[in-house]
Amino acid sequence: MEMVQRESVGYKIFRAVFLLFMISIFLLPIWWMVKTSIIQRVDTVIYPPQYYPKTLDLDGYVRVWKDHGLPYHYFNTVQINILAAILALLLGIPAAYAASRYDFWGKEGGFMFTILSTRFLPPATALVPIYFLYRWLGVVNSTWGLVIAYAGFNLPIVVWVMRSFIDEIPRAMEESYMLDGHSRMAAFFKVILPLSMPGIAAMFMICNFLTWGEFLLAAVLTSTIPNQTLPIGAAQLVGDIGILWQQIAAYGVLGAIPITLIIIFFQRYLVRGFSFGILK
Amino acid sequence: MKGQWRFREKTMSIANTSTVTRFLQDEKPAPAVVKKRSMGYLLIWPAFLYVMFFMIAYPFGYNIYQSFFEYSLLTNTSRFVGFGNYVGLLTNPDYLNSVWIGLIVGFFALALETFLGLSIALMLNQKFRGRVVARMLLILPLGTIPVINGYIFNIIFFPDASVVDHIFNALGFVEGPIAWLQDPIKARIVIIAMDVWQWTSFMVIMILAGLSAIPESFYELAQLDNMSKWKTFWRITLPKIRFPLTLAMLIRAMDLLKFFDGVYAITQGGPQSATETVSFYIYRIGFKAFNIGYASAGSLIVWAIIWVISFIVITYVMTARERTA
Repeated sequence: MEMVQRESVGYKIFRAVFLLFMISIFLLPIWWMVKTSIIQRVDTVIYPPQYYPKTLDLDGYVRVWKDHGLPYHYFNTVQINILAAILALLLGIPAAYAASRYDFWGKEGGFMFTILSTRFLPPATALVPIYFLYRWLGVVNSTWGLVIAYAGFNLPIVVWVMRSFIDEIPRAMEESYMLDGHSRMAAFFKVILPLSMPGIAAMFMICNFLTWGEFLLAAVLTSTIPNQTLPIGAAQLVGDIGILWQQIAAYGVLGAIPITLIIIFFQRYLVRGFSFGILK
Repeated sequence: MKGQWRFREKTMSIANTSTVTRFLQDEKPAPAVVKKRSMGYLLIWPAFLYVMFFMIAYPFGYNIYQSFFEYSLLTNTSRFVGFGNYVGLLTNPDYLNSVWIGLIVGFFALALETFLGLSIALMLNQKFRGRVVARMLLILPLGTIPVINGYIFNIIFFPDASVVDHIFNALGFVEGPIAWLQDPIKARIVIIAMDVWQWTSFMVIMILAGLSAIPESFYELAQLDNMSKWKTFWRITLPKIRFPLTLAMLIRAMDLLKFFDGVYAITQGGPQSATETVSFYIYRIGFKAFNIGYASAGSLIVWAIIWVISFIVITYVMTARERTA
């Protein structure tokens, strides 16, 4: 908990200076992104730099909307992330329930270990196989290709974190429900699912946070605007005629909004997601 | 502010009632629950098969198979070369270089993230005006899209128009422009800076979660004992946050091996492959040079490393879970 110790004035000043310094460093790139998105292109890379916008030009936002397919990219990103989160939850919640309530051979060392190990797999090393597998399945350059991949990224986190949520529901609750003559299945749907709803909602948000800005797989697996996601849309603005800084920054600002809301409102669940359900 | 307090109260009550919950858990009469084991298998299989097929068996099998062939997507020809790809890779300065660069970038990024994350978290855990706002501002980088951050860092370190140059010049650190992206060492510094900028927040919130679980009575006792602040940190705070801190460091270490987006957007591996991480090297060989066998062999070597480290990480996580459960 809090330190209730007396702090010297010198320390208080040091802390204030240090935190303000860190905050200004942390905010500089974010401010630069916001600023770049609303100034004229000629003012973006100049020396000395403009620290605040001297001209206001919202052309970047208009152009990404009209010319560069931002509506497609936004819709695709939302759609792919939501579908991937749902798929991961559908597969992951039963597994989490099994891990929490049953005891069987190979549960920890076999199943749970293997599932978590995929969390650490660098996507680049599976890129070539995944590309050929998806080509064979016919899901390259489609919504489903990325849904399958992102659900795979989410799944280890979902299984481990949902297990920690289900662990917190006392067994006595489902047992007393079953003593009333209901089946285990009914107990799962009537007791476990409703009680873990807040956890499921948080998990859904964590999934969206995890895959929202994914770049490498999306870059390799999609090739046309109607199937691409936000990060790819932004990366495509680096062309032969130069880099469209304003538009990239506009993508950055618009793309950061939903995820920023998630990290602000679901902060304490985020920790749970990061630590596979162990830190609460 | 209100949410903040509710959160604190909750962790407090959890900390104080832990003996009660443990007692309740010991009470559970569970034989009815563990009886039907086959049901447990049935429920865990879909998720297990999914990761097994899409993320382990297929990529692994494919990589092993292709690593013995010289398969070029350009000519669509395949030739058996035995261990040729492995020998080629392990004697290839570019590949060894990419592993080495990954280690350097990873080491410095991790060290900085840990130091800054720990400092910031310890300060945010103290009482002062505006700390809720400070905490919110300090986690904002997590909400941005990594590849777009790369382009923003490109502007910030743009040759002859860098805002960092301007600030350094104004402070009198340097004279004239700094060639950030043309110099190998400085380009690596830019890459490290981007990673530190984006992921220090991760460290902060992990460590804060650990700090908030330390009961206040510990500090009160330390004060009664007249323990110095330094001693309190080493004897109480650090041992209590050892788990979140180690876990956060291990996760970051593993994720740094994946480092790709920043390299792609800022340097494309340059200048002269000075910032080419393993992920970027495999991507370049596979999808720019279309040398599939080489990329597969390279991936497998990385997997061997990853599996050793992830074994340590997961074992650590599992023992910690058992202890907290």
